[in-house]
Amino acid sequence: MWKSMKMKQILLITDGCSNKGSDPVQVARMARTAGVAINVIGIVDGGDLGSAGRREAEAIAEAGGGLSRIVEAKQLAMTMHMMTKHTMQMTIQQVVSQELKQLIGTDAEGLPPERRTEVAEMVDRLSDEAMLKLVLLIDTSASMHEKLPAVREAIRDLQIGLDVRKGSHQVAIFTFPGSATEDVRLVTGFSGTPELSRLSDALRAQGGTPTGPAIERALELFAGDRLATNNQRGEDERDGDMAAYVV
Amino acid sequence: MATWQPMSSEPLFRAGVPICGKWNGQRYVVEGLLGRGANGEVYAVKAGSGDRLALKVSSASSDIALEHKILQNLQGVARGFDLGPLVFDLDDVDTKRGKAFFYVMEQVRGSSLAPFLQRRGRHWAAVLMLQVCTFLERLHQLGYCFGDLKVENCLVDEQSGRVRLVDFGGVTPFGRGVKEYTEWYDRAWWGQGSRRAEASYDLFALTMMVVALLAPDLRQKLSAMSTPNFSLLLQSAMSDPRLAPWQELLRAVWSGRVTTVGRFRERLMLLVEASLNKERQEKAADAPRDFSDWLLICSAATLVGVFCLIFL
Repeated sequence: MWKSMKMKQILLITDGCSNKGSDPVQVARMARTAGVAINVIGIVDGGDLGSAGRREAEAIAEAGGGLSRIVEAKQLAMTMHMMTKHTMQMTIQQVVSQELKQLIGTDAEGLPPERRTEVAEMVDRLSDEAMLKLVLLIDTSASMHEKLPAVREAIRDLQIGLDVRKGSHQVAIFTFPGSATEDVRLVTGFSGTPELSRLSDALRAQGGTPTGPAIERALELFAGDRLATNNQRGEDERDGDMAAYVV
Repeated sequence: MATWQPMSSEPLFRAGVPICGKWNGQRYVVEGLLGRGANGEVYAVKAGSGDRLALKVSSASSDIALEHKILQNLQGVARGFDLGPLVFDLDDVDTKRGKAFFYVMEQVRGSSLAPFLQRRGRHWAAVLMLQVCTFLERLHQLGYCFGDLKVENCLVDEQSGRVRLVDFGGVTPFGRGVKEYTEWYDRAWWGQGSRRAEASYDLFALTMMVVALLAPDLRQKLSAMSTPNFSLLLQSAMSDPRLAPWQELLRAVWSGRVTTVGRFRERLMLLVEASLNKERQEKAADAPRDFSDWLLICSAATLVGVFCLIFL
């Protein structure tokens, strides 16, 4: 079962509060049920990320079973890399802990520290080998404009970090708001090497912050992708799907 | 008990707080905070035996366990000198803010490299770098990359001039993605290669240490820019008089001609000899000014000699 393990993550990058469409916290809860973990990065400098924005970032991540961090645009690259990796480890840790509980009645932290090292090594190896599907949701409201070079740089950097993993990865990118007529815009679908130059065209300042609809679109992309692969293989592939485990 | 979340700006422990390991029952008293990073906090502690040690605490039990294991591997093969700090206890602790995970190691003392160079003279840089080379060569022989090699992770002993490395959180087996890094020293950030753990990754970081130490304002100028600009770095470094003796060596690494620490060290030896000569001349010029400087340079020369014996 470990060989074909698949992880699904959404990484939301925003500098404000949602103000349009469905409630992002509720959508995040749906994501978690569907086995998709949501990480949120709130960018503080320049934007209008007040205490409400911070609370929302935390609430979305908590509902989505992921992490939230509030950082400056400069720290974006480092933070994206770290969060993606930690969330993969967390997800596998949860699976391993469940297995351990069934086998010996305790999770990893119930083991003496020396024996825990063996579990940690296994989790570390598995998260390096697992397949990762990641959707980036990028807030392109007006105040994000001057941070977009940093965002692009951070995505390039994340790609470098993912490239050295043993497991494969696919990244898709949405921006929100997408344009005057659509709330959310797909910049690039799942790909091993997302075309970042297309991001610069997509990134333009718009009004409104439809965070909830953006997460919904990401979930649709995951779901559509799954239907497609199921049709192709014509069999249940949930065995390797972390979705079946995330609680 | 829930795990401690290192969100707040407040460190987990204050000076004077006792820590008692849950599994092994060892007791420590916190004496002060030594450092904080994204991945944990390091404290100076006093053990029950009276020994002064360092304690690294984190909310990630697996990070702590893996780091402890690597440090154990490193000290197991020490021939004569230790690659990393000696490690001891690995345990959990329950705190008011939740459960936390820690390991205990030797407390490495020393000064930062920059002030040391200011006091002793810039030509000392070659001697310091030579020692880092020796360390890296041995680490690489064991199949590990140091990863987060930077000026801040080196300490030098004022008396002996001996360099020690601290913070082994970035140590990564060759072939994997480097666990921890700092942008200025990260070749991938500069667009000069992958973030895969290999000898040449550390070597790039080593050259960036040279620039950071000898031309600190250049580092400030270049890191303040929103995106990395390697060609500007290359251009500035090659025209900076302070880096003149190093330019050939830096260029050799950055162009990919030198990829192992061994080759780098061979070339570095020439610089070290020049530095020793310079020191001798200066001492001859303003004779018995300070005897301790002589002692220092002699011990460094001995160190260099010993390194040569080991490797040749």
